[in-house]
Amino acid sequence: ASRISLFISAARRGLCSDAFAGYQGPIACRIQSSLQSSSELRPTHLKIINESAGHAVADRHRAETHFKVLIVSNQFDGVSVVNRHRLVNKVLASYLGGSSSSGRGGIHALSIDARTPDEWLKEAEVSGSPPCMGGERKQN
Amino acid sequence: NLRCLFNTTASLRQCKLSPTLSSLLTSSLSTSSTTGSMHDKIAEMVKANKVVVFMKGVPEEPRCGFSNAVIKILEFHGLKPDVYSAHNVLDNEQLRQDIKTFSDWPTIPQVYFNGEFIGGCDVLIKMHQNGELIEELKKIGIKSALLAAQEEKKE
Repeated sequence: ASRISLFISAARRGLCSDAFAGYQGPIACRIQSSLQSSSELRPTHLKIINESAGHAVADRHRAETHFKVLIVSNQFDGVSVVNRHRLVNKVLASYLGGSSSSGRGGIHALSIDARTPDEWLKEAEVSGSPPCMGGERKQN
Repeated sequence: NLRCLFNTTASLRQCKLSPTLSSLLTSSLSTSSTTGSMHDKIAEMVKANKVVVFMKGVPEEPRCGFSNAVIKILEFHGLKPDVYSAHNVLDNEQLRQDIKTFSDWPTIPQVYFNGEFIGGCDVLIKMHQNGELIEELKKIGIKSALLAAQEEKKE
């Protein structure tokens, strides 16, 4: 029985456990695959971090509303920070739609850390995002 | 200034209205305004001050961690709320949607320097870390408090 549970937990971790953090749901997987296969970005390193659990969302441990993406690519060389983010925004445009505060039709927040391979070598760490401040819920 | 709101609606441009009628039309304009008219309004908002921020909540009470981070970074560089303009997108759903199409940027907060879109929270954090923010503020004639502090140390 212990061998089976080891096998199951290994399978759950997946082949690239470094590629994800936090709850790895279908949206996280699709984001990963969109970025990985993007010819404009051609990332050498990618990490999709689900930060939804830290925010005021329903069922936050299985939510897919707030993400942080670490993306390392040669394509960012010589490109300003804001334009690097625009490149990533373009690839993920379909996930960022959705008009309501509940994030229906799209994710609610996307934090981007876009680096060149040299920058990633210098500091191979991703910092966390600012803590939630409650959002639109009326404070009592 | 109510007149600038009317500029976007050609039929009203020539009208001189009584104050009561003006305010009635303003409120109907803001609730039923089209994206086009809101874009015009945003274009004016971003030029109204050297530093303009679209955020969730207000500087004294941000309703979002990313918006709060932007306010704190600006404060770090010596910019208090009386120096920049902050607009709360939670107050106006039309603004909240149209600011994203105006800047072609999908999230809030959004920061503008001299009418030019600079970026959101992550961009500002990066620019703060790598010194670019001090440079961008210098370009719009604002001396960062950090720069002043560094110069003071040297003397």
